[in-house]
Amino acid sequence: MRMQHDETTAMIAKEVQNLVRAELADAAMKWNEGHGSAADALPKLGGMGLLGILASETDGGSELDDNVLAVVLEQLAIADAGLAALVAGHNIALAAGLRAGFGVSDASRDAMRACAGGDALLCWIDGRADGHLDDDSPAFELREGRLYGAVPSVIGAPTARYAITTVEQQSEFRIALVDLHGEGVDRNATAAERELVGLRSADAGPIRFDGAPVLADARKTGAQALGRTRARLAMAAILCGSARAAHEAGVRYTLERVQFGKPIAAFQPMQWQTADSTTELTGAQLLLGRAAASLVAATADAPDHVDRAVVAAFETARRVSDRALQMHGGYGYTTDYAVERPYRDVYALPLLGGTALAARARIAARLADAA
Amino acid sequence: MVDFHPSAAEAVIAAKAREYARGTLAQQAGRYDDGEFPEGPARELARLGLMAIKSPTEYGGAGLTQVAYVSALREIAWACGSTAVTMAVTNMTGEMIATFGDDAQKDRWLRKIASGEMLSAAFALSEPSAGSDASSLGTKAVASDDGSFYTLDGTKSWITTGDRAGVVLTMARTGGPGAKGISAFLVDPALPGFGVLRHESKMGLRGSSTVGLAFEGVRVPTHERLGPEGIGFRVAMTALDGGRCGIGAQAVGIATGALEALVQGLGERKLVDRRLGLTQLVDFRIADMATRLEAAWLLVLRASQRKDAGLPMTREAAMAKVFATEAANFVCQRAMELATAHGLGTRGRIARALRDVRVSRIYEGTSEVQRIVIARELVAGLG
Repeated sequence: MRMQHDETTAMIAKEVQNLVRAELADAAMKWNEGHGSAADALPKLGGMGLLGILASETDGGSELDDNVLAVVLEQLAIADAGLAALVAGHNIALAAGLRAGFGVSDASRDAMRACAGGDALLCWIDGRADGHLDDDSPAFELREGRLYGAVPSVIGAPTARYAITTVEQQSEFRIALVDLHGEGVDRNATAAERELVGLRSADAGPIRFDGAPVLADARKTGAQALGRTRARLAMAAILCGSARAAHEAGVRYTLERVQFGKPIAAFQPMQWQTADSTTELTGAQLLLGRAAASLVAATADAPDHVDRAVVAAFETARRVSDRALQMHGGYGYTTDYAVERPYRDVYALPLLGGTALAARARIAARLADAA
Repeated sequence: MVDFHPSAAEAVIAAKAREYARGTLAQQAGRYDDGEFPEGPARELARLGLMAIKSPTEYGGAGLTQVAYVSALREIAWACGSTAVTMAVTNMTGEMIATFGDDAQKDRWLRKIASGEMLSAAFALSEPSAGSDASSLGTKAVASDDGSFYTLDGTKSWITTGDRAGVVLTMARTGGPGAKGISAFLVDPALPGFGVLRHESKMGLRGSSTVGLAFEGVRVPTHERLGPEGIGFRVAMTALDGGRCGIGAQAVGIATGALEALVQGLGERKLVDRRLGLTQLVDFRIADMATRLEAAWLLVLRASQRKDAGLPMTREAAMAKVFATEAANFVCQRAMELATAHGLGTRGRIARALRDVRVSRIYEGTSEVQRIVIARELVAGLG
């Protein structure tokens, strides 16, 4: 069993970490105040090959694997979970589209190549009938090559150029590529619809199709299932990164803030909280690493490992970000400090990979099946 | 036997608050979440007699109890956390004037608070370096040679409605270090040298303004000192004992609003839950949420009843605050998680409740401070 990243993964992680420290962490504070959005950082990430992580070099991508994807997302989330969610949705959709055979026909080839090279953003919409995040039933109907239906919140909806989505056609589930700049697409959002509890930098919003033509569609084969598992893994990675950012900020603050004549880090309740947070975080990261490795190896139990990583990452992120905010006292409640953002983002991240509640139900169902 | 039933007068004022909260305020709360100060609601609360609930009737107050106050506050918080915190700080400041003030001070300030002539009142204790460690505050009040005024110099932080208040109850140091060197002053914001510093940009309670205050040579007449010199910390702690019940009530109100919104929304989604195998999991969570809120409310009522009976209630108030605010945060977090799953939106009322309620574990004494208070009281009881 290997507990260390291989050389390539470690090198990419270091590059992303450097970018986070040099640019992205400060930029994220501005995005949170409504100045620009995480999409502003995408050209740079595209240039680093991070928008085609899972695509082959032939398709214009970096030809890396799910472990690298998880590591990159965790690092990006240290700066901003919204940015990481945009990158996740794009990479997952791209891999699903390529697996479904998009890019072969004239109509879809240019779109897929532009996405793999990072010149156009893709968003991923899986299931969500009636907006229920854990419902696998497609929200969109495909009739005579055109899409109909609506989803209330999609990460990257206002900024993405293309979407890859599951659709239903005469009771058959398919996967489709659609140009969001085309006819029959409505992405207008009311102010209330834009006001998410978290992930504000990611520009999530509604997508409504009323006869939008698809560029390509295919039977879902394994593309949807793999995409769904990847989305869950990506969510766990982002939750771990976001929690790590909050935890590190909390530790720094307890060392700086002096009350009753000494740094608050000297008080036992603070020490227990930082110890609990780092322990829980380490556990969640190890589960994440195991889940990513199982997905790379395509083992049969990969979905189960991913679900376990999701539950651990969600609960860890919820508790760790909450503790970090509490350590900051009144300062933590203000947007001047970065800890209020991870606290909110936890609750919006299921937009990417569904909820930890549903992950628990799947884990329990597998246990029952195995018994 | 413990009687948890409100008196007729307590029930009437809670009903009045409930009617306004559910009939009018709930529809406006989204606006105040966008950052607009709830000026209209503040005036309406005064008109309804909710801004000076415990102040004596001879000064325009409602002359009611702590139970009446927390009951009404819970109803207002159900609809709008920003309005509730404005109501809470105004009532708390008024109560301190009623408790420690002389007749002239009561006559001068309480009538304005009760009538709504003054939009709100403010309570200025915290400083940039004195949060949980409030007794280390550095704002100075130096008496003039002729004894006619004090000159206040210093900075206060995180002052709720500090820019809107007609009077600011300010703690400042008149003596040596520690709690006994602190005195309380009723500061008119119109005095020269009083300034409002930056507005905090907050995660929640965005309609309630939170500001820093600067005191630069503010000359406060000696007759505006609240009580004798050196009792400022006692004034503050008395205010916080009652205030902590209020924060507990506020938190329970916010969380109750979130839970009710969730249950209403879930009613239509049971079929999906059944298909996904989530029904029992969801039911169990809702049951836990409702049970914690109920227990929290009873702790708030118990502490309030002790206050009304004139019994010591520092420990009970701390217990009420720590339990109620943590229960309320638990409820709002779980409600948000379930709402997200069910497509009830990651925005709207439940998201607002999640953001609004989070500070209840911080202001007027963090959860950690409450635990210290509870433990000290227990240890002292053993001695």
